[in-house]
Amino acid sequence: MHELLEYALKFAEKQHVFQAEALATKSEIITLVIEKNDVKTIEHKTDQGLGVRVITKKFGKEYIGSAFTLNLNKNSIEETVKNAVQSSQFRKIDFSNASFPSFKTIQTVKGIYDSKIPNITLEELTEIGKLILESAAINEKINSINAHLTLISYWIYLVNSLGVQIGYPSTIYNVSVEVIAQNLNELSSGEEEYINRIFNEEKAYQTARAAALTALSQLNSKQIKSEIIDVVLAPEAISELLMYTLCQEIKADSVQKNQSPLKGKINQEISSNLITIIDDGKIEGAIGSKPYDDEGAPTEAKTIIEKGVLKTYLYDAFSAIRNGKKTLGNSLRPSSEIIQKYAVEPQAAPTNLIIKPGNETFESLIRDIKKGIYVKKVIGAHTSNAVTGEFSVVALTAYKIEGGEIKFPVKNAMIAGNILELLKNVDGIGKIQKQCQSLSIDSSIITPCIKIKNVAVSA
Amino acid sequence: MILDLAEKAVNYALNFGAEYADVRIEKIKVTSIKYSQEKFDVASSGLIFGVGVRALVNGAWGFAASSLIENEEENYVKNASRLAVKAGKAASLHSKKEADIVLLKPIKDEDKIVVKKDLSLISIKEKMEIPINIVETTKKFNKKIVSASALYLDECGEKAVATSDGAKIINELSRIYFSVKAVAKEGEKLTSIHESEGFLSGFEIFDKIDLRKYAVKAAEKAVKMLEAKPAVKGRFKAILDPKIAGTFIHEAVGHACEADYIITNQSILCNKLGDQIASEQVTIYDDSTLNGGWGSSKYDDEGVPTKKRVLIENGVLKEYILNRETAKKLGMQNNGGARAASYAYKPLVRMSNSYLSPKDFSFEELLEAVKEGIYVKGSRGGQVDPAKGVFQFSAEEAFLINKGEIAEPLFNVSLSGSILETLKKIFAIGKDIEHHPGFCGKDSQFIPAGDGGPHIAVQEIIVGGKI
Repeated sequence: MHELLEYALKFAEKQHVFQAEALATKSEIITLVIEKNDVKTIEHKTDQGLGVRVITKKFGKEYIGSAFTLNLNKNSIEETVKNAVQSSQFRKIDFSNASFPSFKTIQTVKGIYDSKIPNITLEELTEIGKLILESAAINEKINSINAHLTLISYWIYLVNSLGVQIGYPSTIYNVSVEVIAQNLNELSSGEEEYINRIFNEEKAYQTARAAALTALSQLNSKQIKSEIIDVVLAPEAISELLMYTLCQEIKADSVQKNQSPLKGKINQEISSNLITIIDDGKIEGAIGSKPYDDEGAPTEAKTIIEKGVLKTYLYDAFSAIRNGKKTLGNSLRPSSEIIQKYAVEPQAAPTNLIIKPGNETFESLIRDIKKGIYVKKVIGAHTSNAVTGEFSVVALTAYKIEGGEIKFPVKNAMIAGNILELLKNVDGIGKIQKQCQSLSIDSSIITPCIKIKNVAVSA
Repeated sequence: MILDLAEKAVNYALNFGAEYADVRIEKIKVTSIKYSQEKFDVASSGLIFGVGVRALVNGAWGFAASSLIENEEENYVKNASRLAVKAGKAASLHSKKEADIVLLKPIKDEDKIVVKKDLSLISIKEKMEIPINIVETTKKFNKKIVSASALYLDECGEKAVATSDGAKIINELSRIYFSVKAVAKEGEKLTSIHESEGFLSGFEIFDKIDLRKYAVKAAEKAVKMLEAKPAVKGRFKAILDPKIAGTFIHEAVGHACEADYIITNQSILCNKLGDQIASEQVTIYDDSTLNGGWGSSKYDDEGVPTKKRVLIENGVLKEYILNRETAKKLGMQNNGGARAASYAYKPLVRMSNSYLSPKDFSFEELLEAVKEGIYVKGSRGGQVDPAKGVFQFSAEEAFLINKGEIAEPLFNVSLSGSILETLKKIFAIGKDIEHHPGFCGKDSQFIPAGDGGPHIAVQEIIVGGKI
C-alpha cells in the first residue's frame, strides 16, 4: 500500500502542490447477524481506498483540497490527485503557515491489535452465535433475540510530503444484543453492547444474558409524573448525551467558529468539582487509542476538565495553527463499521473521552435518593443542539428510585436540560467505568455512573 | 460494462453453491461540500467502485462486499462471490435454515435518467458556488443572522443489479441534495433553522430553481424564533405542519410497517392488518413510483419492480413494506421494498417516499378546529422505538394557538407520545401537501427517503421541552 501512497505523493508533486498527504485504509469486517432467535447471516466485507489532500499556494495564499478513490489503479489515483488539486483552487485557508504535521516520533500503543480477530473461522463464529442465543434464552418470557457480533481488522497508512510515513494495524470486537421480552400483551426491550480491541468470547454471552435481564426487568413498567428529581445516569446514557453535546463543544474548530458555549471559558469553572475529564489517545486497549492520529501526529493524554475547571480544547493540526498552539493528536476521520477514513476529511475530535471515576458503588449512589430515576439508555440525543448544549431525550430503559432503592421500571419518561447545567449538578460519581462507543467506530467514552441532582423529568 | 460483471458474479455464486444470489455493482462519482463561516469545511469528490454479493445457502444468508479495482475487477468479483457463499454455508451450520425468498420471472430493463448537464462534467468549483450563494443570501437577509452554513451533495453514475432468477437491471443515477442552516442571535438567545431540498436531476436544476427562496425561508424563520418563549409542557391539541407530520408518518408509521420488524416482533403493527389503527381520515402511502420523488426508483435493490404501497387506507392497516424474504415468510405479494445504502450493504426493507394523503381542511379551518393548542413546524429529527410504539421528535418552530389564531412563538419544543394513540387522535387533515427529501438511517445504513403530508390536527400530543 505504501507504494501506491508514494505514487500519489509523487504525482501530486508533479502538479506543483506545496504539500501533499495520502492516506489509505484497508479493512476486513466480519459480522454475524442473529435475527429473531436465529443465526441469519454472515457478512464478510473487504474495503480499500485512498484519500489525497493537498495544500497549494497562489499569490502567497494557501489553499486546501481533497479527493478520494476506492478504485486503486494508477489512472484512478492520478485522477484523484487532480481532483484534489482542482478542489483546492477555491478553498482558501483562513490562516497563514498552514501545514500538515511533520512529526518523526515513533510511538506504539499496546493492546489495539488482537491477531485472533482476523483469524477466527466462520465456523467458530456460528458456534458463538449459537451460544449467544442460549445465553439470552433465560425463560419463556424471552420473545425475540437479535444480535450483531462484529470483528473488524484494519490497517491505516499515511504518508505526507514532510516525510511522515506510518502504517499500523488495529482490531475492534463488538457485540450488541437486543432482546424483546413479552408478558401477556406487554412487550419490553433490553439492549446491551460490549466493545473492545481484544476478542473475548465470554463477554458475548455475558452481554446476551445482560440484555435478556434488562428486557425482563422492564416488564410491568409504569408512567411517572413530571417533576424535578435526582437522576442516576448509566455509562450508556452519559455517552449518548455527551457525544452530541460536550464532545462537539470541546473541539477547537467549534470554539473558533463561535459554535461552542465553552468559548472564553479556559481556566474557568464549568462543572461540578467532582468532574475530571481526560482525553487520552494512547491508553492501552481502548477503542479510541492509536499511535498516531488521522493526519499522522502522535496521540497524547490531556486533561480537558480538572475538578470542574476547563483546561483545554481539542486540537488537530489546522485548528492548532489557527490558535498558535500545537496539535494535541486529536485529528479524526470519523468512520462507520467499514473503516473508510480515506473518504472523510479530518476534524478535531475526542479519542477516548474519560470521566475519572469516583469511589461510590451503585448502591451508595442511590442510597440517599428519596425520589429519583436510574436511566440506563436514552434515545433521541442526536437531536441535541450542539451549539447550546440543550437536549431532550426519551429514557428508554429507566427505573424509579424511591427511598434509596430501585422500585419499578419506568415507561416513556423524558429528560430535558442543558449538558453544562447537568455537569454542574453532578452529586456523585461511581467507581466502575464502562467503555462505550462514541460517534466514530474508533472513538470511545469511558465513564462510570453519575448521579445528578434536580433534573427535569417529564412523563 | 458493470451489468455483465454483475451477471458473472451471479454465475460464480451459483457455481460455488448458492441456491439464489443477487449482486449489485456500483460505479459512481460523489461530491460533498460543506461551507460555513466563509470557509469550506469539506470540498471533496470521490470515485466509488464496488460489488456486493448476497448468497442464499441451505436456508441461511451469506453476504460479501468488496471495493473494486479497474482491470482486476473480475478477480475481485469472483472472490466476493466465493466469500458470500462461504459465509452462507457457515451461517447455515447453526441456523434454523428458514431463509427463503419469492422468485420472479426474468426481467431485463433500464432505469434511465435524462440529464442536460452531467454532474461528472461539472467542475467542483462550479458546485462550490452553490453553497456560497445560499449562505451569502441568508446572511444578507437580516443583521440578526450571525452565521449560516450550507451543504451540497451529489452523486452520479451507474448501478447494476443482477439476480439468479434473471433480473438484469441497469440504473442510471443523478442526484443532488443541498441544505442551509441559518443561525440568528439577539442578546444571549440563539436560534437555528434548517431548510433542505433534493432532486433526481443533472446540474441543470440550478437554472430552474431560485436558491434565494431557501435562504430567505431559513433566515426568516430563524429571526422569527428569536421572539420565542420557553416551551410550555404537558398535553396539547396541536397542528403539525407538513414537515413534522411527514416526520411522524415516516418515523412512527412507516418504520412500523417494515416487514422485517413485523417478523421479528419489533413492531406494534404485528398482526394488525385489516384493523382500524388510525382515525378514518388517515390514508398513508409509501410510493417508490412517485414522479421525481427523492426516494423513487423503478426497481428495488433485489431487482424487483417497485410500486405505490397503501400502508393505511381510511384508518385501516392495509399493507406492510416487503422484500423477497419477508413476502415469502408472510405469504404476501412482494411490493419491492428492498433497498441498500450502497453495494457494501445488504438490502433491507426500507421506505421510499412515505406520505399522508391530503383531505379537505384549509389551514384556517384547522386553526378553527383546534382553537387552543400549539402549532409545531419543521423537524430536527427524532427517534422511535417501534417495539414499544413510542416516538419523540424535536420541532424547529412552534407557536401557541390562541382562540383559533397563531399566537406567540415557543422554542425547544419536542413532541412525544404513543404511535397508536396519536394515529387515532388525528381529527382533521389539510388539503395542502408537501414532500421533503431526507436521509433515513436503519442498521447503520443511510438512504435517501422522502416524506410528506399536509397540515394535520391532533387531539392530544405530549410536549416535553425544557421545564
